Amino acid sequence: MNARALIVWSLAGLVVALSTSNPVYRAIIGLIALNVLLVWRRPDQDLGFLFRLIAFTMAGAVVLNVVAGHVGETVLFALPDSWPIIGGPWTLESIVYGLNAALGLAAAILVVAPLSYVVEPHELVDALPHPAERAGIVVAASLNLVPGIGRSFRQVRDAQTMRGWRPKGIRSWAEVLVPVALTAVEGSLELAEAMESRAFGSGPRTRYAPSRWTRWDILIVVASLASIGLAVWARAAGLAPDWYPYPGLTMPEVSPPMLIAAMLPAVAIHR
Amino acid sequence: MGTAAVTLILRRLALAAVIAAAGQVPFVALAWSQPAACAAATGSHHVALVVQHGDGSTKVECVAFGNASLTGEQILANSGIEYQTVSFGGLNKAVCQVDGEPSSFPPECWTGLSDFWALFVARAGGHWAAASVGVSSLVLHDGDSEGLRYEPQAQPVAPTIYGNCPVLTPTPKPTPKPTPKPTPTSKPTQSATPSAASSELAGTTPTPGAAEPSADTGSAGRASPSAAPPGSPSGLVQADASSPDPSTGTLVVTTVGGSDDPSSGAPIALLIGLAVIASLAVLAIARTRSTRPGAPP
Repeated sequence: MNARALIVWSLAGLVVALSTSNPVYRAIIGLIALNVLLVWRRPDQDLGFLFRLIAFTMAGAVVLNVVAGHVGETVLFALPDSWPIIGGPWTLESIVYGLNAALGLAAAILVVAPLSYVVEPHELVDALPHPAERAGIVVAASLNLVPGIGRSFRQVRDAQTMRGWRPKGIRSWAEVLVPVALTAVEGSLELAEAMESRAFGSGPRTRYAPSRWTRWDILIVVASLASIGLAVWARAAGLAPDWYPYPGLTMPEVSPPMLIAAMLPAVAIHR
Repeated sequence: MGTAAVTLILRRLALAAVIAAAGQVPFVALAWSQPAACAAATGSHHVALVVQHGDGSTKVECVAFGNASLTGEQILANSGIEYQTVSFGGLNKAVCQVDGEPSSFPPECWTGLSDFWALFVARAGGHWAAASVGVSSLVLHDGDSEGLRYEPQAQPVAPTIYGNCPVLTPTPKPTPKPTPKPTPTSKPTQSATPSAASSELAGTTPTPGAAEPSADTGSAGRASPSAAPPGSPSGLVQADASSPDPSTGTLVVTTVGGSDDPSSGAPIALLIGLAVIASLAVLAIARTRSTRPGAPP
């Protein structure tokens, strides 16, 4: 899939999933994104980390809302009001609201995940407009530092452990953190030198194989733009009201224009 | 039987006699003795409650009580109108839902962009002023009014109707021969005109002779008001006087000026949405199974 088409598709999914609190649209967008991931992901990509991240995020959203939110008619049990934060009635509606918030987070994560799991990083940088290319490369390089530091941390810790180091309080961690910081600085300097030696910033970015647009990519972009337009119009016109489980549970109201907006990104499932 | 109850019965009989003599309104017209019911049920103090929905429809209730004062939340509770609140710490409670509007709300009561229930108070029949405290902290005394208006946050406008409780007046003397106006239809109306209600709401004494039978018999209990309360918008064209509730001592007057809810219905869209979700879930499961190592191609 063309990276630019994928960016527009992700944007459409985000707009639909996050513009309302309706769980129907969120579920549709999340499942469409999941199917796109399963169809288009690169063969070397394992989705295990993504699913664990989503599960962790969803669990956090549910627990946080149930513990802190004490609104709703269906009281499961109650803790004394004098207890800070957790005190008060624990309600079924809070659980449902937490699940809905978790569904929104999951949909948002799934809809941007193809940018990492479907296209190569250099394709993503190529997809940026010319004025944003350099900034995009710098941001991508900075983000690459995070997993690099993680790897460096594990290596240094293992090496120190083999030399007899054992964690004893906060100060003992300096023997690991200082080498990690020095390694990160050294790695950054090496990256800068490598980029400079490859004439970074001397002119427009060149590419070996320019990205191609297929008819299917164009269809995805058109459908995504239509989805964004429909969703924004439906919200502005008041046709897609929010849904909340408070004070009591009700079935969410589904608006036909918003439903179509949520279903349009499904064209990307086909390969 | 107390004096108040006897007075109530006498008033009802007197007013019924007047209207029945006019030959237009049967006993159902006793709804217009509501001020008496309001006064007699629980106390001699009154607070008007005005609830104005986002579509313009308005409910005006007169809540009677015996204490020196009540909080805004107690007024809501005594009125019988459905409501929901959320506590806001030092500001105490905010009103999140009244009379089913909105149908649902977030745990914070409202979002940054959503409409909300603005709370107003009118002291002793004065003008509306925005309440500076939550509904559970708002203290109301006899003659005050509590106003709730569902509106955008950017445009806090007070309710367009005043809710002064009816002034308790002596039982109007029956006119020996009132001159009823001819009705376009032969069917008698089932309620007195809201012109009397509006007058009462505005604090003036209704004139029995001014009670005109309504030509609109299709909508029982509704008629066109001829005298709107001060500040009443021109869009309010009908008034609905429902029966008083003696247990709560409230006078319920509903003016209808809003439009029908355009978003109601469309369950088929929900069914389609659920079907799409099920299809996508099945598709995802099938793809996951087919991409497992060792799965048949």
